[in-house]
Amino acid sequence: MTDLLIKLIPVFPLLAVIANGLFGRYLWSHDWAHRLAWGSVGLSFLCTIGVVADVLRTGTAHEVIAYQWIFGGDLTINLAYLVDPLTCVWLLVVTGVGFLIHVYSVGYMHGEDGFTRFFTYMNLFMVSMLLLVMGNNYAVLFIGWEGVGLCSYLLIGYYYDKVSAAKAASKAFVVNRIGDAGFLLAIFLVFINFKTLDYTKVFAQVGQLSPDMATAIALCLLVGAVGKSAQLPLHTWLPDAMEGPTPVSALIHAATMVTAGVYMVVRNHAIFDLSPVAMETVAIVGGCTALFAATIGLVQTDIKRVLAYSTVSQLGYMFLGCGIGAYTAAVFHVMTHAFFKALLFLSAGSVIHALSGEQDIRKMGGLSKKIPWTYRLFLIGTVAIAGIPPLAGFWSKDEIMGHAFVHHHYVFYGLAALGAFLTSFYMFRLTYLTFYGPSRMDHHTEEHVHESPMVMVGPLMALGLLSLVGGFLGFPPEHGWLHQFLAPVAGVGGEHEVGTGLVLTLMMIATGIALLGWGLAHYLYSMNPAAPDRWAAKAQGIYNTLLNKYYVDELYDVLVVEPTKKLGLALDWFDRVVIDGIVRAVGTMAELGAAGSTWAEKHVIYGGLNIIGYGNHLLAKQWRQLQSGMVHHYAAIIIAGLFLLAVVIQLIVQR
Amino acid sequence: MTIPVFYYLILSAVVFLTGLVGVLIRRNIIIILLSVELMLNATNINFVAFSQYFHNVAGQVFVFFALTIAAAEVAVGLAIIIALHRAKSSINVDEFQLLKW
Amino acid sequence: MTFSLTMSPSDLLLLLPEILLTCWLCVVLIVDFSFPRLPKEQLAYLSIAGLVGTLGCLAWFDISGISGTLFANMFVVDRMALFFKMFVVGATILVILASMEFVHRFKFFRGEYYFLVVMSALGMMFMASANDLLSVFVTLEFSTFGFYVLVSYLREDVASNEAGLKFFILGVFAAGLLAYGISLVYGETGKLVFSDMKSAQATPGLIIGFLLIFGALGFKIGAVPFHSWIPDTYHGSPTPVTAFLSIAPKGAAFAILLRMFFVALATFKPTWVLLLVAASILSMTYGNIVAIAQKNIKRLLAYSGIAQVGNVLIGLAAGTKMGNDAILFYLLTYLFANLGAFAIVIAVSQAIGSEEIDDYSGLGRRSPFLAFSMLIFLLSLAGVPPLAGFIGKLYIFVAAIKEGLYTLITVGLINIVISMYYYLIVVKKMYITEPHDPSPLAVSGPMKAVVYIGLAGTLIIGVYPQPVIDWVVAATMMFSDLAGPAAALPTVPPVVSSGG
Repeated sequence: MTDLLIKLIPVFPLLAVIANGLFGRYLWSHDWAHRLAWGSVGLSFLCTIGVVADVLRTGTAHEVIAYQWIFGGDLTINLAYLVDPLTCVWLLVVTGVGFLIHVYSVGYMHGEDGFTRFFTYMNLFMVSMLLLVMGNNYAVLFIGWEGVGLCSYLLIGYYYDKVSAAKAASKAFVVNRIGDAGFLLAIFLVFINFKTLDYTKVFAQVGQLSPDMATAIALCLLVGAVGKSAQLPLHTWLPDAMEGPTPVSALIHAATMVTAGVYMVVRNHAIFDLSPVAMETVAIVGGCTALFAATIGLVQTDIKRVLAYSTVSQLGYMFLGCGIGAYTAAVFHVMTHAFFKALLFLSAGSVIHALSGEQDIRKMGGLSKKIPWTYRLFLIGTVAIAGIPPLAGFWSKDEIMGHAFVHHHYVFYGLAALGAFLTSFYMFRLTYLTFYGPSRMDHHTEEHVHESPMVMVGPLMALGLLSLVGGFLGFPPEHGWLHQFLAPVAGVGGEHEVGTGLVLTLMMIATGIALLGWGLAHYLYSMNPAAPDRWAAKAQGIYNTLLNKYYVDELYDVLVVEPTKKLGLALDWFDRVVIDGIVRAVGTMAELGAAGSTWAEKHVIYGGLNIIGYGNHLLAKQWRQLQSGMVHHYAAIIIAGLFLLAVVIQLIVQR
Repeated sequence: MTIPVFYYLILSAVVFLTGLVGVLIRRNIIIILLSVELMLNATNINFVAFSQYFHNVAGQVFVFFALTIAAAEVAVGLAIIIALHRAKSSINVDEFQLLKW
Repeated sequence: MTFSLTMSPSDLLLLLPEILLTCWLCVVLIVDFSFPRLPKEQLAYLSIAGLVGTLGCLAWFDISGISGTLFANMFVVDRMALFFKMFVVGATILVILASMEFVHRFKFFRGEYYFLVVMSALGMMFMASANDLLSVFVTLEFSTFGFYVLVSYLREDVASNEAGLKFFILGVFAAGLLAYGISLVYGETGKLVFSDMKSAQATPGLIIGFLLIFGALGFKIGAVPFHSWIPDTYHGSPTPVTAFLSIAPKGAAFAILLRMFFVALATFKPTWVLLLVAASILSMTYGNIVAIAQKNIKRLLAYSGIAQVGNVLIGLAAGTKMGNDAILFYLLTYLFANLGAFAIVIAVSQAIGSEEIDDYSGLGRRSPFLAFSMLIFLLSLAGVPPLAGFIGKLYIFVAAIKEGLYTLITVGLINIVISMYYYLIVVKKMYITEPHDPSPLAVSGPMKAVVYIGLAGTLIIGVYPQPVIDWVVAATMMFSDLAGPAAALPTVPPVVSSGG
């Protein structure tokens, strides 16, 4: 029964994709297209609940084969699912939050061109994401991984007639390929070492791995995770990805896809545990990203970009958690983050919707009265992400920070604490600028401000509720329900018995940091609105650096994009000029030999008189002939290639 | 007195290389075609010599097929050359470098 | 050595598909001459009917397990030969469908076009059965003659003429090398049949001989450093001919390569594996990098084809049965994706008269069908799951991993990432750049059929590859004794469902 439910989970969205993708535009109206879309995700969610209930009750992991590929006898790759507690958490988040976002999209995307196309891509994303988290081997993981990447590309470029959207889509795709290359390499290394790709078999024999190999695999995996989860230095695509519709930003670029990197690291923690170097690297990447992205978030003026940098920063916390061994805390943070970040994005979407597409917070203000529900819910999200108890974000973030402190990673604790302060500050800055103060909207927009329809506010309320109470799944810290549930898969983090006093102190400090950030934001943006400009003017250099995101994009343009383009051209040039030049020289020598007698006759007689003139002639002839396209050059290449291969063979035979 | 097979090999190698160099350095398409024929004829010398050496008829059979194919090649080749000459009034390969890079 | 020419009817049965097609070829020619006013589309359908009949006959052979050899081992019919024959015939059917509109561009000899296409296909069918060096030489040339004419078929077009000239000169040049190589091998061994050469010694003459033969076959498949004709010829040829040239001869030449390396040269495996590794790395890297700088879609596909051949050579370098299975599988996925992509190039070229990548701007809005299909084909060529190309690449790489060719795999993986870049350039043009002229494009019926077949092949093999895998595994049964080292690896039993 459970097996059947497991198999059914990805099938519903897949059916919706097929139906909407093939017939949606011709056979039924938008109403049916969206009903099919959210209905299928809802059914998946129900199945997930059934499965999770069973896993909870029996405490066993389920392995189910849905489909088998057999390659040439002894190699089998299965489309098989592994549902253990770790997968369960992700399944709940993906289908649950996914369902809410689908419902919200019905209102948000109402009347857009390509409504059916949007829901087809969204459902395709759900299928890929479910495969990603449910697969029982690396091949399925990779298929899901590529699938979500493709859907992300398609959805970022949803408004394909917008140039910036198109560019952002390409950028996301290309940057992700870098990560994918690392991930592929890791998969191949795993296969070389274990001769299988199944998680259970790999992790059963993980002990045989040499430390160096473990480090190599772990670092390759990390490259993949860094690409997908937008960590330093591959973070640049995520803020640009905000060109996509807001529900896409909420679902793919906040709640689910970008956490796939965290999922992969946690899933492979057995390999990471073997390599202190890799763990250290994960922690450094995470810690630096958390702080780095938070500083950029301080000065951004686009409501979605602030949230995007905050996502990058929060993902940094999750990586930091993984890096210091607090896997459960990282997963916990993924979950709470999915709640409050989806809430924030969707509320932001509601704001944008209300303002007819305006995203610049400098042109907002004073909205708290006009769209009260959106305001209240956004505030819940802000308080949750800022880490003020008892909302969701506090518990998970505090657990990561506490773990860092207790295990003597004081530097990381410092990074995280500073990041937390900045997070609280820029999130309240965002709230103040958007909802308080005088209105800075133009007259036309202001007239049209309206609260969003119930179909949008409803999901927001559900997410708001989750953000309020979601943290209690992990309460009391280190011993909550979630910790017990995840204990069999995520290893045991809290071996250290810590005194209650220390825990309480750390919590107080974390709360204090968050309140401090709030206070500063309150001072700057509510009490003393002229101050920020003054401060910015004083620290012009820092301000501009932050505003330009540390010039990372520009750096990449100079360091990577341009040279790659040039490399192609250079090799083309190399082919034309150098190779042809050599070929040409050989040809000319042969020609000289063939015409040797004539040459001797002419040039021996006229002696040294014309040497210089002839040299010029020869050179001119050579340069003129550099332009290839000539058939005897091609023949010469063949002959040269044969010689080359003959030399290769000669070397082999001699050896 | 029999001529050692080695001598035939030398002869055929010289003929083959003459043809090969001809393809590489000559510009007139007809001469290039003739050079290719030289390469194929070098092959024929080899085959006949080896066939005699091994007392094995397979080599001579090959020669017949090679001759047939050479004849067909010339037929197709001359047809292409005529088409080219019509288009550009030239049979110099240097004239044909529109397609490159 | 004696040639026995006594043939029984059951021997002739082995030749039945070829005889059938030869007769049909004459019928096509006679109909063309006898009814000059018959619309040439009818000739195309007539040719397709003959090819479908041949395909049916081949399928019957395959299913009923008919096999054997003819003419003192020169001509062999086994499941691998049948696979490649079906491959060639299938490709020919698709090419003819894709040509039907294009043929109107020829001023003369429209009917003979179909004759020449089918004749080349016949030559390649013989190639798939070639089992000794004489038949390799004869069949290779036979199949190429048709192409010499086809490439220069647009007589008024200077580019087509030039492409024909280059292809012809280099083709006969390669033939000269091939013949000389064969003569050297004959001189060293006194044998022409592959299976008689197993005990040959590694003398310089033999090595040079086989190197020359490999050069000629490498020329046929377009592997670096024998690739030089590919870009120019692909660029200048009539596009359906380019499509034909880009797939069918490669299949047939790989049949010969497989027989040569695994039957005649099995004892020299350590040597030729490194040769193939070198050729593979060169092909992948050169093809993918130069492709980035291309402006013409046909040249882009030409360089991408060079790179794809590099990928197939990985499978050959693995030197195992599994590697050979992977080659067959990969070629099949390549058939659908590549012919599909070329079909779209033809359709676009018919509609807007251009083959520049710039003119693909806004194709997504001018013809969503063509643009989406092109997207699928390019992604399959690039190896994105869940399309056929992904399974093909996976199969090849796994086969190579089992043999420990890690350098090759690493280069291959890097190349996949590079190749994504230029495939994406085309996708970007189609979906993101504004069209110069937003008018919608019309697509003819036969062209749609080709694209649909390509799409079906690409998607179905990607999602449900098992029957095809079974087919290729059965087709290479003749290599089952190669399994050697691979069979010694621990086998991977299927996962057993637990906790259910």
